[in-house]
Amino acid sequence: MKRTNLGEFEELVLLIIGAMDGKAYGVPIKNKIKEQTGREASVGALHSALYRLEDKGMIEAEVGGATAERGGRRKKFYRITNVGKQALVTTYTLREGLLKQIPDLNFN
Amino acid sequence: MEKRDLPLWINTLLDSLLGPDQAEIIKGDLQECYADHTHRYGLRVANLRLLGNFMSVLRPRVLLRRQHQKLRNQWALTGQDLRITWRLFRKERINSLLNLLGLAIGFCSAILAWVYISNQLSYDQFVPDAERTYRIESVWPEVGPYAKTAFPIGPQLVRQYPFIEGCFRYLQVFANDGSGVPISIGEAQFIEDKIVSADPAFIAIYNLKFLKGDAQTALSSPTNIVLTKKAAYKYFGQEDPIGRSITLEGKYEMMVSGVVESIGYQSHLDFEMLTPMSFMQEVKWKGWDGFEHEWASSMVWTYVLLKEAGDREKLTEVLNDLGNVVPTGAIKDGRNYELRSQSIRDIHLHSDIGSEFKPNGKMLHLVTFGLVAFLILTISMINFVNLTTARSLIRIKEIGVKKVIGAARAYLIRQFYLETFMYCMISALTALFAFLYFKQDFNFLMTSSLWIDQQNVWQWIGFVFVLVLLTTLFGGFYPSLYLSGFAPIGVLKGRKATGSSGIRQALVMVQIVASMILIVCTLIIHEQMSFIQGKDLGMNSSQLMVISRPPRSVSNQTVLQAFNQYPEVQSITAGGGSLPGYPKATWYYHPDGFPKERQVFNTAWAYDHIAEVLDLNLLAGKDFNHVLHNDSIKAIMLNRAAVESLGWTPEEAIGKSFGEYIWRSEDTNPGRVVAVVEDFHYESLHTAVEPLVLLYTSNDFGNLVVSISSSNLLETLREMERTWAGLVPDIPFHFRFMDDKIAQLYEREFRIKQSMNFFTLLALLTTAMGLFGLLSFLLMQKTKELSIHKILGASLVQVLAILSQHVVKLLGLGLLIASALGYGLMTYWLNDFSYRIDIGVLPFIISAGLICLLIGLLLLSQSFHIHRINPVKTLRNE
Repeated sequence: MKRTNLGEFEELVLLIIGAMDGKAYGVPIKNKIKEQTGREASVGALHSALYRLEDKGMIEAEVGGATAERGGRRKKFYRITNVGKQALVTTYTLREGLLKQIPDLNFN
Repeated sequence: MEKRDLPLWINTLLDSLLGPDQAEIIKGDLQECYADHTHRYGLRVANLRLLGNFMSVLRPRVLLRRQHQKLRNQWALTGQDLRITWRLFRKERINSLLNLLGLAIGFCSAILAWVYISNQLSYDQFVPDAERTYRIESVWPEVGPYAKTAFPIGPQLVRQYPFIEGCFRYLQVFANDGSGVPISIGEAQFIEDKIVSADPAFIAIYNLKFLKGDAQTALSSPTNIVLTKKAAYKYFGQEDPIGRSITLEGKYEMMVSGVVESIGYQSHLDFEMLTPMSFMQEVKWKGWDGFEHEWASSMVWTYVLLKEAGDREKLTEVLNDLGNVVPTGAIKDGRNYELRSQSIRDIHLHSDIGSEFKPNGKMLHLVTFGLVAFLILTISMINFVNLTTARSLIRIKEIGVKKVIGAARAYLIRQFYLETFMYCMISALTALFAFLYFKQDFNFLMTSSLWIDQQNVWQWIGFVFVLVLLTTLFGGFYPSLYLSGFAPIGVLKGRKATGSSGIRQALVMVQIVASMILIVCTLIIHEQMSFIQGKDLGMNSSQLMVISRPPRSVSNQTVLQAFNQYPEVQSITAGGGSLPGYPKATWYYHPDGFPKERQVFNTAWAYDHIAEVLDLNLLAGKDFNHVLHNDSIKAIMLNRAAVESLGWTPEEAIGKSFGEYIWRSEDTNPGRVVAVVEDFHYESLHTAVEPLVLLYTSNDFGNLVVSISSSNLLETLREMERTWAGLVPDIPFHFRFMDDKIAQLYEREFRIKQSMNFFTLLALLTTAMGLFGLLSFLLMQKTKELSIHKILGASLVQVLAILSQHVVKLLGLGLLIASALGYGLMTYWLNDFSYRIDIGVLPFIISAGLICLLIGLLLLSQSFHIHRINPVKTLRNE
């Protein structure tokens, strides 16, 4: 299995894209991050992560949906791929396994 | 709610920095956030946040996305590229190798020129304070400047003037006029011709590096002698020479007190053995008597070190005064003896006066050589560019394909430049190896020892690197920048690359012009050199031999009589002074009509039959003969120039009185003109023949001059050596052909000629390669066109005609331009000679002819090739 090294922020973005299931583009992702973690992600940082994920093949993009708020500009929708899903699972499994090895850790 | 758009500046900036699609999306996001923030937090905060977001976009990963989009991994193709490069190379092996070779040749000549010129320019620069060190020279009315001055001048200057810090005098130790000193070490005998004598200050001023022995004391005793590393090895091998003794002329025992590094390869002075000046004074070496205190003589080389460089003017003044004061009595046209100075830094390349230590280099030659090397380099670079350009056209399809699969333009540019760079580097490395490998041969060719030391190694490498970069830049220019710009579809469909024929034509022109100039120059230089060497010197010197005189213990007469026995010896006499190849000598006379002022004349001393031996043309009178001429009235022989300078005709001159000046006396020796001979060149052909006095002298003077027939030469010489050994057991038989001596003077010129030939051959070769490459290039484009012509029924001749069209125009124009430039260049070069050829049209006709022939042959072969090719092959792709 190819190593998927996901940065912490990237993983976060990937998770959120996965959760939003096809309705994710720049601004909503940004908002959701704020909502779920309290972090303010800047547009640049976000797009940077999106590009990386795209290059790694974990998400795929589709352009469309211009609105007035955007001044008539289109949006780029992202959707998680199987590769991306697999990467998330792998990460999760790895974390879970290690966490279980730590004594006195309570999952509440 | 107002819908505010992004500020203009953000808008434009993002548009210019990002690709159109990317810009749209990012701007959209920014816009949306901005609107949201305005709504939630108000304008101020929203503006701040917008700024923050905008800044966050300015990061590499985002900005460089544009190219990235095209091909994710721009380096993926590099491996493939290398393979392609290699395959192309092999497919056109000959062409590719020629390309590399041509460039390597160019680089090699450039390296050679660089090293040689920097070497030559650095002569005597190693001397600390070289800018304050000057040589004193004397200018004699009538005969001109001499590098030597009187013996007492140097020390006197130091004593009298505080701005002169120090001085040293330098003298070459000769056994006789011009030949080496016989030395013996133990039983072994040698002849060393580079023994000099100098004041101890020489060591300090010239900063000689002592490998053994002490610099301060090395020349303290008159019997000390210092060797160079080379001499030490030659005579003592691995043994330590310090303390060993060397005997000069079988009489003077010297003790080796030091070993130093040679300076000959970077200085106008040279030596293998160094003795102190005190030695010469003590033993009163030949001719020393009296000259020690004589102020009006040219005897030693004198160098002074000034306290400050700015004191030069003071020096000039002092020398002027001194010149006026010194009583020489040799006044001609109101001009007296003058003293002047010359910076040692200028000597090697700019000084060519009488009695130089050794033939100096010449700025002119450096310039010529640099020019030639530059032309070769240019030609080879042009060739390279041409050939590379031509070969790259084949690859248009490759470029098209690459673009389609996503290669960015930057990538293509990078690829082609990398490839060109690799070619250049390989050529450069080849050139470097060739240079190092052939260094010995180059040394011979350039009459010097090329050297590279720590200091200039980096300059050297830097120079080569710059060359490589330049070549890469120009060579890769066309394929990288021009070809990579093509739209892929057009290329793949086979639309022809129009290319700018203007540039190509210009390149061909330059090539033709440069090669023509080179050929013309070589031809002319060749002619001039032959002219000098072959010109009748007014005497027959090819069978003349000069034998170094035996030591005082055996008289010349004995040897002379002994040698006269040999049938091959046609004529033998003794002589010295101003003979060809020997340093000029002068003396003073009172010709008829000049009772008071003594006149200075170039002088040679000779015994019987001198005119016969030297094969001189007797215009009047009789040759020297001991029967007719005795010592009470000196017999004088004049040359035509002398007679004319006195206003006499040759016939008138006979019988006229011609007194010989006696050293520091009021009396003169009575003398009479007994013969007049036609002018002959006893000096170099660079100068016109000056008046000459031949003074009859006893046969004990000077060397033996022998006119010997060239049949059985080797046997005769062997016999003579045996006879010599019988008569003079301790001293080796040393002889030289007068030809030798003369040739030595011209050696420099001759070698230059040889190297010119070599380099022209090189240039011709490079030109041929270049023309070949260029023609193939032009023809590639024409191949299809010509195949169609062939189908329509064109004959070989017609094909040829079509091909020639383009070339002929360029050829004509190029040859004209080259002729003009070549003529100018050569006229400037020939000015240096006082005897020179007329340039004439012949060289131009020959050069033009050669070039036309070359091009003609190439065209012919290519036409033939095309004519034979099955048109199907060439038109297949349509």
